[in-house]
Amino acid sequence: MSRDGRGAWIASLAIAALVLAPVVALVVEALRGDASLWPHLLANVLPPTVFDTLAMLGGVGVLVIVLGTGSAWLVTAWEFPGRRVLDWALLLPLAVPTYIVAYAYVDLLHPLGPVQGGLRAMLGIANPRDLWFPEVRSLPSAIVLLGFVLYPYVYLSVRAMFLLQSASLLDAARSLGHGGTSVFLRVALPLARPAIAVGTALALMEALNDIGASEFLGVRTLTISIYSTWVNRADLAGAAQIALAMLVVVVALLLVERHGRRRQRYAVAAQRSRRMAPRRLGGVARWIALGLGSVPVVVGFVAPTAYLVFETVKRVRFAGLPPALLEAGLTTLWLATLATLVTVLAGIVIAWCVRQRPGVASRAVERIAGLGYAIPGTVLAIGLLGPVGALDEWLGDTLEATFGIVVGLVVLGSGAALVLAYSVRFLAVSVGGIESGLARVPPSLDQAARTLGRTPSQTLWQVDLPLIRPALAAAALLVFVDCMKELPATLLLRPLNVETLATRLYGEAARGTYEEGAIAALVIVLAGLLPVILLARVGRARAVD
Amino acid sequence: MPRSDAAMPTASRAGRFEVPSGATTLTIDALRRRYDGRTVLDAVSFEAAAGETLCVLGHSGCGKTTLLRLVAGLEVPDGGRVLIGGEEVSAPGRLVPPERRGVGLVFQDYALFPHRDVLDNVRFGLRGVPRERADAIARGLLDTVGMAAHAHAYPHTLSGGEQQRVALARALAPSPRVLLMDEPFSNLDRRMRDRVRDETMDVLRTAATTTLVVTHDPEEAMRIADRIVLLRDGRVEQIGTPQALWDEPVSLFAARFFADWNELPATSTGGRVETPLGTFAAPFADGTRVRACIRPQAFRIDAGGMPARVLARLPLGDSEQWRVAVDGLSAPLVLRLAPGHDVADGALVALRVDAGGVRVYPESDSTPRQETSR
Repeated sequence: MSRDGRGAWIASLAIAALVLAPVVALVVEALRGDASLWPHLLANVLPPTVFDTLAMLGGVGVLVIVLGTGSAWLVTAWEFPGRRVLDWALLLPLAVPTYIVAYAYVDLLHPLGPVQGGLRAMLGIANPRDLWFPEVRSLPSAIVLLGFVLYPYVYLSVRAMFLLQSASLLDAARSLGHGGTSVFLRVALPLARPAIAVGTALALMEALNDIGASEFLGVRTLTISIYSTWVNRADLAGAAQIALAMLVVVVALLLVERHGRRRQRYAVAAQRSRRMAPRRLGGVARWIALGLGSVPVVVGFVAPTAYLVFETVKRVRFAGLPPALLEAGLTTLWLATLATLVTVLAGIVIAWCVRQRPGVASRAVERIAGLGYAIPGTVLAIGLLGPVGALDEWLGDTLEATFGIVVGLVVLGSGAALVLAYSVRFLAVSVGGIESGLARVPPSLDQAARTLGRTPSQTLWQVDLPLIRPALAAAALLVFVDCMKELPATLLLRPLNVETLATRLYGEAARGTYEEGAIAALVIVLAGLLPVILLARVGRARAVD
Repeated sequence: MPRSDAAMPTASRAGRFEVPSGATTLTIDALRRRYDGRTVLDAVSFEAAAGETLCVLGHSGCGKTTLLRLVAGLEVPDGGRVLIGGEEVSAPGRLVPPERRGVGLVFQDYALFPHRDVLDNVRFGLRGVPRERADAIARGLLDTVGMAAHAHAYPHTLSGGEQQRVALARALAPSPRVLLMDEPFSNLDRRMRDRVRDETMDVLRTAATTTLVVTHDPEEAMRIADRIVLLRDGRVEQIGTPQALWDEPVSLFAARFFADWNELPATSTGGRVETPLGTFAAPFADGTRVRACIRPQAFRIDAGGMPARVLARLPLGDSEQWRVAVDGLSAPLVLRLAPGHDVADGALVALRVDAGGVRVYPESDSTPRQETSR
């Protein structure tokens, strides 16, 4: 192997080790913890939290499958006014993080909010107490709200699968005497099962990662108890022990996803032919289709965003842009930019290694490096706290002993730990994007550059990277927005007195004061729209091929 | 123009290795390569003289592309050596990376950089050469290959033949010590192929570059090679001039590669074989199963020859192809004769075989080595 090849290989191994470090540290921390805590945990904390978490995952799972698959079939099988718009608009709720949808609806559905107020006006009821309305701060409403922003994961993969399905299969079913519903249930749905599994697993990973919605809606999930165990009781070992329980759920979801992906390849490889053409709907049916298809978009995106826009305008008119928010915005920008740089660089190293020396070893490294997306932010943060704390202590002692400087917590205090957490969590996004870009560069171009006098790393800089610029930009954008939106790890790892847009919003909502939160939320949603636009365009390009 | 460049040291080379003085030799010494336990190249040895054009010929999967990649340094051999101009570039414990070997490589898909224009592609290998000088070399080569007018075009706007010529200019620009070409003409349509091939060979002869061309097309190899290296399942079957391979193939495999023969199965006894068409020398052990191979051109119509019935005649312009049936042969014979015979289909003619157009090979020669070893 060439010298720079070896360098890149060592760097990849180091990156994989960094991703694994928090998981290993978590296990070590949990084992080191006081076993006497377990009876208490098992008796009082775990049963209700595990139940709430599983109930939430189960409910969200059913809802995202119904919403995602149903809407995907609607826009695939039927032609009706607005279908083309819905095709991409159904992705919009992806721009709304779980904590923002909860934040918006807690206010929207407040007894004195617009929804209940409107209902009362319609029914002629004067006193808010006289109108029965379901409790917003509850598990069921958490399930509904999460379902309505997470279903696009299922929609995206199932829609792609439907587009790949051969029309002749469905035509065959029709000619054998099956009507539309029967074709859906007996042919399209079974073929889409792997895609449903993949999309649902991703949605549930996101649900498991959520901390804001659970907090605002008063659901005691595992994430919340990890967070409060560390923040309120400063019991790292206890938090690690609960986090370990959560990792079991993560592993199960990962297995479902991997299994789904393998079957998906198979299901796609099996057929290749004419795409199915949507059937035109007439009469009332087309308006019903439009109405049904719009519900997820309105509930998951339009209503909360409209609320945020309204509140933002009100707030800015009243007090202008609050300086504290501006500062939080700059901090967010700064942290996300740094993390994006680190993540994309690490992604280049890994993707390039896999290209340079394909094999079992590099595949394994790539797999490990990509694990972060499955680890919930809280779990990741708790896992990082141990090693980062030890490193800080060592650095502090060394610097003080050697130079007599008192530096405090260097890694944690500078935000480096947070950047590391972002990078670990979103590395899969950048590796995936860069690899799909590199896959389109024929290896003969690399070889041509080599025989024309370039070393492997010169080939990377002069040939490969210039050619995959669009893929690099897309990967960077996705990582950047993900970092901007990230809440759970940010809450745990941010330096003292440092606020990002997300933590500011969380702090306000948790305190029950609604001031500048809406502005922060709106900024995050608008940023979140960028990757959705990208996704919609990529999806369309793929469909055109 | 390219000749003077080849003789002149360029700055990029000067600091790295001995200045090439014109063309160099290429030596392949007992080269071995395996993938996943399968031997792709087994003890392959040959040498290309300075300025020689050598064709590596073989069926797909015979290891010829692997051989090229080993010479370029894009792959590491499992054994054996590669020497360029006497310098070991691949040997046990020694591996000069591709960027320091001074080899040019023309790819089957041309591999032009899509983000650089034609001139930029050709200049790519001229690092460390002053800008004006690099420009002059690149433009000179583009002129030689007839692409000067397209200096600022991007590769995707060019036809296959044009891309091939740019790829050639790019590979020649740094004055490589050895030029390697991987099926360079196979992506061109037939009409274009002959022209581009002739032009390419003209350029290479002028440049006097030692060249290794990989191809699966025997006709192409015949046309361009000074000598041909015939590979068979990772081993050298025969090396020689096109004429030698045509005239004296060493085995049934080699014989079949270049020409169509009439093959008569027989068994050798006493150093001879008896066939319905006559008795031929067969210096093999008694009882060896052999094939007597007769060129279609080796037949003459001659009163007193053996009787044959004409089945069909196909005019080919300067010759005619006949299919005739002979008693004692299960398959009809294929003949190439001068046109002008006034014979009707179904007529009987008398045939004589010219012994100079007959070769006798043991049958075992035709089975691939891997199968015999299994």
